[in-house]
Amino acid sequence: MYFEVDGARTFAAGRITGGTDAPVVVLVHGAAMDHSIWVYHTRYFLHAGRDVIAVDLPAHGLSDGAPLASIEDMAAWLERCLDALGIARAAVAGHSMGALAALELAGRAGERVERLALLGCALPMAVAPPLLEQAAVDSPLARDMMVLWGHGTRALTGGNPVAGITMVNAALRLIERARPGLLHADLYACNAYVEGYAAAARVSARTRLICGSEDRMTPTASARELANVIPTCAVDVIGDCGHIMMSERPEQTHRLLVQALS
Amino acid sequence: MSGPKHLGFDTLALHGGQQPDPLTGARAQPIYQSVSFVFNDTDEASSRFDIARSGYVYSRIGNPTVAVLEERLAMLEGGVGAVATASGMAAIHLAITTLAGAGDHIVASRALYGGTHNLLSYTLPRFGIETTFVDPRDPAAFAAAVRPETRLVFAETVANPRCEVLDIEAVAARAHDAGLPLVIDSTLTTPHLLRPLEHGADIVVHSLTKFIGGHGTTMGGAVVDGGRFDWLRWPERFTTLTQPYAGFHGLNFAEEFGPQAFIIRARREGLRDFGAALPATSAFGLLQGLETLSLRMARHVANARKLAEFLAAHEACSDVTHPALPDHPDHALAARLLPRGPGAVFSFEIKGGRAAGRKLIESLKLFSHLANVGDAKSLVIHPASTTHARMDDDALAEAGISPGLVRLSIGLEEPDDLIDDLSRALYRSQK
Repeated sequence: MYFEVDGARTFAAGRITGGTDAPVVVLVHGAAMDHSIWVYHTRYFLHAGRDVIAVDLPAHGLSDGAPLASIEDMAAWLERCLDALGIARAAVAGHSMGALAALELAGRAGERVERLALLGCALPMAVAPPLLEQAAVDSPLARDMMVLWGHGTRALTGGNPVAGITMVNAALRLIERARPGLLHADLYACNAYVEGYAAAARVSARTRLICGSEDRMTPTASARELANVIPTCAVDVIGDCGHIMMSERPEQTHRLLVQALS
Repeated sequence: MSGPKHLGFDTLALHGGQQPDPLTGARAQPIYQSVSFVFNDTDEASSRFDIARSGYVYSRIGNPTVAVLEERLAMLEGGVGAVATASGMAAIHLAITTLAGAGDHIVASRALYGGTHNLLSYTLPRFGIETTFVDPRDPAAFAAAVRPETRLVFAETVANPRCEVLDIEAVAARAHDAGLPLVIDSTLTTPHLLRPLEHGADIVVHSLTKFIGGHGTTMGGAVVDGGRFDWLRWPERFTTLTQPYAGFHGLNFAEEFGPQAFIIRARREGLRDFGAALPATSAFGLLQGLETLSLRMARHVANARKLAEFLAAHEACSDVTHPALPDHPDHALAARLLPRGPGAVFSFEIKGGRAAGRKLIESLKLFSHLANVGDAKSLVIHPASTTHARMDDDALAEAGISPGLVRLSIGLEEPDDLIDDLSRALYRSQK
């Protein structure tokens, strides 16, 4: 569905009916990605009768607008997005950069965010300098770094439970669709985010950190340190899985996400 | 600077899409000879039906053994995903019907496998899909034939039997300028020789029966989606992908699945409803072939080149249509596009026309006389005395086949033995 935030056309997969008592599920994608990374999860919550949106941040996917420069800007934008859709109570999940935005949102929005799931999240979310450098010039190498470092060893040879889909190439094609400069803008925002622990301490939502055991971008040990700061937080580690757990281990991620947001 | 590397072609040909069996540790891919798969609960069942969770439902739509083949092919082609089908023709049908319906139009190369030509010329028009055929050596002709109702451009990498080589980049550019995807049949080249997606094609189809299976034992086909075509840029043109689909409660494939839209629709509609699924046992056989594709193709190509050079120098032969030969019209293009070689299927003219062709066929001992290509064994067919035997010379000419045309598919035998076999048979054909 399309709607407006800050006067810009914004897209979110999913549906808001207002016909359910449960908080609206809000899914936030990672750097240079879009709503389609959540396709099975979005469809599941719809199937289960939940109101759900998998939103495209400005300049991502099918949303217009300019890229947001910081994680704080993304969180503020998400708040305005909730306002635009009349969402008073949310169960928010974010992946990677989207997890930082979701964390910052939860730290600001108080009880408006009732449940929080952070997938592939750690503080700080430092980005390797070579990746930033290559992203700055929109090099294909930056996209390769994203998808090859972003997946666990197992995913590189495949064995996807979604029949016929290559995990690595699917992620690569998604990132290739990003507008010039967007990957760098997103990675820069992740790298520059320093307010995460302060936001984490303010989170009132029941929180779940979902990690991949082979995640090289946001290692499990760093995620556990973050979990220690969030007042009510559980940590789940998916075995034999890298950073992009929604496509690498969709069924395990599904179960944990449903538990986290229910 | 150097960075992380994707796994290489030969590694993916062996490992792509497969993990050792988690229950038994079986290293070879097990054959999951099961029609259906148990659901743990009703929620899992209903959500798998609704494309809301991963997992298998029914082997017509997806099977774990077939999925390994699909994922491996997609990796080897550089695609986002693949769907395996019961045959190459089923793959072509699936690719077309995922994009086109009654009232729609295709622009196709006129140098096509006969089965494809039949589908486009005679069968699809019964369902309202028309095709305009153009010269594959004239990229501008593809653009000139586009109509408002055109939905795709179709061609083969190297055509059978005269080996016209397609300038994929030039035709892809014309197709994209017109807002159309380029669908390429890459059966005769396989991803070992050419990866059409890297040259601008959008969708690749294969008959896996040929070189990929490689042993003349197993039928199969595949559609591979490059995942780069932007269907939403022309929402009124590609309505199967860009408009809500009642068959899945209003699912909009392009909006929801992004780069995977085409291949997900092909599976969830085309396999579901047309039902041309690949059996698990066939997928197992084709995986065995895929594991040695590089080794076999290198030998196929080397043997074919030796045979082509032998025939080109033989006084009983003319018009040897092998692109590795310097006088082939597409020699330079083939050298650029197919540096590992242009394949192992080609044709030649035998002096003496229909009668000489018949004698040649009946004199060959190692070459098998049959209607197939891409076997490990060398194959031969003489259309004027077999598939087109009822046509007179004028009718043959209309079909683009001369009385003396002989098609060869060169196998993996010792090339000198093949040359000896051909040499003896050519001698007898001229008596």
